[in-house]
Amino acid sequence: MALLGESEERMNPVSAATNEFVDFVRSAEPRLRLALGAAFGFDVGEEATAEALAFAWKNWDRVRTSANPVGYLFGVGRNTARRSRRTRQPELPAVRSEGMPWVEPGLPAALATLSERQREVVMLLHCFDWTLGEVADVLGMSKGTVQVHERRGLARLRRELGCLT
Amino acid sequence: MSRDLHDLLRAYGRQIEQDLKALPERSGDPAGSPSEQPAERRTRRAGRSSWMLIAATIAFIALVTSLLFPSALLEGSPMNRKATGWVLGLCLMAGCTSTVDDSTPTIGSATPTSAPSTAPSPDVFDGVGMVEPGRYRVNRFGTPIELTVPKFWYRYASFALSGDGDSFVAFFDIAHVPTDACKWEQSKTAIGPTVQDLVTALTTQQNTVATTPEPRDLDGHPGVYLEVRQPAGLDLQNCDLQYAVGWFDRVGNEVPTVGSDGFNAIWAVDLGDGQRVVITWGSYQPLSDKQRAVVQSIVDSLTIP
Repeated sequence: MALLGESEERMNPVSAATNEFVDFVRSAEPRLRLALGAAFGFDVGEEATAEALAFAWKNWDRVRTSANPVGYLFGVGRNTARRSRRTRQPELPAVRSEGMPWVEPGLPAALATLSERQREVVMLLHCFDWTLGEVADVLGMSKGTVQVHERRGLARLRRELGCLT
Repeated sequence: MSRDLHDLLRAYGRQIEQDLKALPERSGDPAGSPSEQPAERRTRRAGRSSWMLIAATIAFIALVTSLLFPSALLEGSPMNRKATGWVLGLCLMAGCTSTVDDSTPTIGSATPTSAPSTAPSPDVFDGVGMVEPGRYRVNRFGTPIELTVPKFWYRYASFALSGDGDSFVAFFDIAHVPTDACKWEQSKTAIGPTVQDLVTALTTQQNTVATTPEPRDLDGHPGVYLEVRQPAGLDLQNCDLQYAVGWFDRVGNEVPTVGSDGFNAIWAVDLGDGQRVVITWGSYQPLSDKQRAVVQSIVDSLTIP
């Protein structure tokens, strides 16, 4: 029965679509979670990611054929997060001091003062070490625009944090 | 203690990654970085490594020199001391450069024309990173525009150069101007192809203030000059995505407006054949007189050959 079941699964287009969706989630979910978390805080980002992936499952044909499925779902998640966020400023986790040579407790608050786009770009590039291309792809903007937001965001962070180089 | 913003952000990122990794039912790379695109990151790291290798090599040569010829430093002529100082200074500079920033500018493929020549100048946006000082062209608009780039300027986008103090000089093909710079997502409006179409859109835009437009030609091509910035007291928290947008270029990039403490000059020039270029310069923060003079020198060097 098990062998028969596997064989049926291989032939079944619904199962094939399911497998394709599972593969997509495996690749897209961590990126969406970080990008939406950087924009709205990681609790709200978590919920928005789940909503975006639920949308993707319901509308898989539309999502899978779009030019940039992850960018498309980032837009879906962003709209969800904007509706559901509890505060205007994102709730970012406090900096933990254990095991760190030095810390800046004001960093989350300083990041929260950035605009949504600046924070997304600065955190993805500098906290999570994404490349310009990766950030541009998920956020659906050109590399040039990413750089503009990066420069403005870093300049503002430096002002907020004072003495940093 | 020397602290670097990038190190702080990276450490904070690692903490968040650990927290997220600790959550149940997670899969994939905790950094969420697409594994199919490692080449760019490798290139960036390789670039940083090569800078560090160069710095280490120079430092080693300097160390050997100082061990073999200590008299050059201690008892030598002032010239010898000066030369040794230069070597050590270069070592320090190279060492600092290697650790300042991940995005250490690299020399692009274009090299300038330094002496008068009949050969056309290279395109200033051909390449990435630091621009060698010299004479360049902007070829994107059909009619080429020439300019002289001073030391320490770099390309930060395919349409913009940046220098000290967050100053910039950029060349835009503007297609849309929002009627309200603050509510820019809903008010994006296509504009006509003439210089006057653009000037009208910018001077009637809400939530920016513009100076009175003045006629200003560029080598016989008619143009208009004005300055635009955010009004003092504009609360960006109420704006779309918490920032204000002055215009959109032809490929849809939105361009943030400069705050009331910054400076943004706009020179719209009719190049003929229905082609309009917008040359814009300034800074998102206050500039010193010296910084402003450098920016102005680039603008003054603009010609249409």
